[in-house]
Amino acid sequence: MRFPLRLLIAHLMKNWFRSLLTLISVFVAIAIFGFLRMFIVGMETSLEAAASNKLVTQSAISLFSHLPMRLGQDIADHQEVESSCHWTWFGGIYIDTSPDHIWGRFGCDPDEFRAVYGDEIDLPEEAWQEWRTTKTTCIVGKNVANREKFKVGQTITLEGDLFLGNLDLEIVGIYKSRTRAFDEDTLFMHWDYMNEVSKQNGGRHDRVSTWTILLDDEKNGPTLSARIDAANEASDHRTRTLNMRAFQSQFTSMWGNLPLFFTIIGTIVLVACLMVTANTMFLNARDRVREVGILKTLGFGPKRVMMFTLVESMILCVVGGALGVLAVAPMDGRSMMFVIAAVPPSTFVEGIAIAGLLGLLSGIAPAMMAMRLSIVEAVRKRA
Amino acid sequence: MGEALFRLESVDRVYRRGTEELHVLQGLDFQVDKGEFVALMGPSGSGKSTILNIAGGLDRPDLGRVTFEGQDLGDLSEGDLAGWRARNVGFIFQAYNLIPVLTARHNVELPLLLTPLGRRRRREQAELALEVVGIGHRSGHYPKQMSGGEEQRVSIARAIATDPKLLLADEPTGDLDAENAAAILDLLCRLNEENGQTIVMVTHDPNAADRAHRVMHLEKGVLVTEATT
Repeated sequence: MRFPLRLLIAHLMKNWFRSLLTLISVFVAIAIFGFLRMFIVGMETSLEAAASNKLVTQSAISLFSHLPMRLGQDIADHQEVESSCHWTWFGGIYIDTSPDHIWGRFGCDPDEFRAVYGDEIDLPEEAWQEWRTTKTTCIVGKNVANREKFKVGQTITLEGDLFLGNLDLEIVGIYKSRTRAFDEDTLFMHWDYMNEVSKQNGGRHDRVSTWTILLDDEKNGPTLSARIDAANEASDHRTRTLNMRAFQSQFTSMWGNLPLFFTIIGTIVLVACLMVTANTMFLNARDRVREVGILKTLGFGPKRVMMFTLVESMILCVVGGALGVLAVAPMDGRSMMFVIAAVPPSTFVEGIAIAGLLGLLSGIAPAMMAMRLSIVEAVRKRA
Repeated sequence: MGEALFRLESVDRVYRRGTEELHVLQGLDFQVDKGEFVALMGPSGSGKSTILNIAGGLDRPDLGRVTFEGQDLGDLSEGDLAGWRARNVGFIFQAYNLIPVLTARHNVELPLLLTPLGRRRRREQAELALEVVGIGHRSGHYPKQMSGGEEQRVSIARAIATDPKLLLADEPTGDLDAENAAAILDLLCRLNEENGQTIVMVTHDPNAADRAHRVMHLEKGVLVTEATT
């Protein structure tokens, strides 16, 4: 079916400001949709990517309470434990407390860390070796390095808050994650170093946030969890041992029922956008009553005239929608408050499909109006 | 009597505004033969334009029958009627009815989009039509850059671009000065004489009507006189 495409483009250009505003409204709506989807998909993806052969032991009180370091040996002694790695949230301040300088800072043992997480990150061998042999070194994730413009060989200073004292750390490697379950917004240092400095400054010491346990067989997870927690039940440091998925879901549950909330917000934005686009299409249709009459006089049939109007709204919406999803694409893989943003191809498809649907819904009424327009009445209308 | 191109038989057309009924055409019988140039005259509201609209498939009668080369237009769906218009009828309006955002050539190319012609052939055909009406040099200009006479020539070029069997002209000189009006009438006469183009023209101007083979006078929807010039 041939369309007067040139006429369609000429109209979009003639009313360029109106077209641009409509395009921007669709762009914003679809970008918001993409942004919200990015969180939801990011949460789902990180849970799906969580390794099933790992457990995490944390304080039963909360994730933010510490456990005694000596517990590590008890955990390692279980025969189902292939290896284990302790993590301790250092916190601290780098430069200032602005959001730009907030990222994860953890103390751990490099050898244990490699045994448990070696498969999940890419780090050059020389960086691994340098990190494990020099106590005042650290490795940082790619996102942190990009954001802070860190270079290998650079020394940075972290000012302690939870753990006291300042830490001077030489960056010996920048890691990349191989899985969405492991973010790139973190610095890892020697726990020994942070513990020692804190102790010297009268701060807390010999405390650990969590242990990650690599199982010899994932089937042993439930029984081992129960045994570890039972062993500490009567102590002053009761533990809670979770599989990795349950552990990760604690972070996403911090957001509450965010997917529902995001879905509601997204729907409201899209409906508002639909109204804006429909209004534009009605204005366009009203401006073109005479022109539609001329086209019909020349022999353009009702279906062709209807499609002509629909194609115009579809073009505006699909172009706006495509730009909207493209605007969100660079966020893919970024860590945002415990969620690694995900913009998979399905988000592009969904975004463009929704934009197309917006175009269809906003154009259908004006298109029907054009289709039913009386030629005699239309051509009589003076320009 | 020649071979009929189209025929209106006992045609009634009533316009309704609320409870009021306006009988624009009443039992009208009207035939136009191939190659004829017919002028329709009469006071405003006498039904002249309504005849053109019905003959050109832009409107349908309430009663009666319209046939074109023997085919009953009443049997056609809206879509089929549009296709029939594209193939058989060219329209020329008093207000030119060009599309302001398109150049002269692109206006003329519009009806050609409904033909199987390719892009290059459409362009050539449109340029040829503009040459025929003597305005080929203005093909890249927009309607607002042209005079009324030039716009009407573009409108005629668009009407003849598809080589239709019937040209329907609704007061084609109504908005033009005497000089341009005469030039447009010369052009229509030339199309009729040289190409055998069948033309039905509505006009208030007796001088314009004199150029036609046959002049028909209407009053209140009824044909009152018919004269051959």
